[in-house]
Amino acid sequence: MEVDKGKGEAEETRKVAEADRDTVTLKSSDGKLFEVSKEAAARLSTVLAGMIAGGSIDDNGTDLKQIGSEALENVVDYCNKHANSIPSAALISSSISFNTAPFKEPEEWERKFVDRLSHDALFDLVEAANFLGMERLLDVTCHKISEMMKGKSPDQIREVFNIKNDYTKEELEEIRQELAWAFYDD
Amino acid sequence: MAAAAVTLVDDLVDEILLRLPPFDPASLLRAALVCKSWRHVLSDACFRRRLREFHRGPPLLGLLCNLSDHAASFVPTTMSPFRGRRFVLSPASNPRPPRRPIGWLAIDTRHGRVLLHTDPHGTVQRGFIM
Repeated sequence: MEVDKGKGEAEETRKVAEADRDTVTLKSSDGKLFEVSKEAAARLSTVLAGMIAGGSIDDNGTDLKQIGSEALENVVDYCNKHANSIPSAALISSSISFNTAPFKEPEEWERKFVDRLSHDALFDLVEAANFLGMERLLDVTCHKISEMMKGKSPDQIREVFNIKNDYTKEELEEIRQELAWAFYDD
Repeated sequence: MAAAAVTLVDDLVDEILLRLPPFDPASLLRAALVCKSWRHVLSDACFRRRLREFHRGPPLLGLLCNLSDHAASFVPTTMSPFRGRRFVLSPASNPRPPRRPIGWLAIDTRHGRVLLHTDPHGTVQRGFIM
């Protein structure tokens, strides 16, 4: 009985210790583990905030099967950089709804953060940000992708985004003639 | 830049198109020509409403100013092949343009509409147009 009681206490102590942990462990689709500050994760991701509040965080690594290790590493890196760059008080006052929030230009560090990413890494990261409900990261990555269209013709945009042209030649010609002013190369 | 190995998830397309620069409205038209689903996103009323909210109102496309006694000029301020040029307003619907173009002077503007008056020194066709 004495031993059992000891085990029970140890279990209780472990649970308290877990609740007190200030990091959460996330597991990528390919099984790699990443630690991120609980506070930053809860503040920057609505999905992780929900999981933390609902107690569905697994201390051996919360499975994020939709996110590969490279994208998850970037997510964690972003959370850590974000946590260090902005004081919490400023963040609380700026917590506004994403759908109606006007655009806020990326800050210098955010610009550098996405600029160093390869094309594929950027596309994976935007999907991870979307999946995790990370409004600001989605904002910054989508902004970067929209910048990739700058000054490009529809053909060049299709090439960058791997999109198949489903217009007929006649349809394209008709619209082009109507809107000739919009095309730099005409 | 190398082509993307993966294509974008559909629900991210509008998030990206929403962020095209408001000072280059032609970029929205070029995007509409990429494929039909992009055109569908861009022409959706809900998307247009979000676009205005996102960029805090519609972009300033240009200025209308009475630069001479005879006609108002539209001076584009956005990125476009017309940037740096001026347009003198004249009736577009006139099937037989007169030898001397009829100028319009801008009198007033309200809610995106402009009240124009024919050149007071002109000899033909006097009146107002909205």
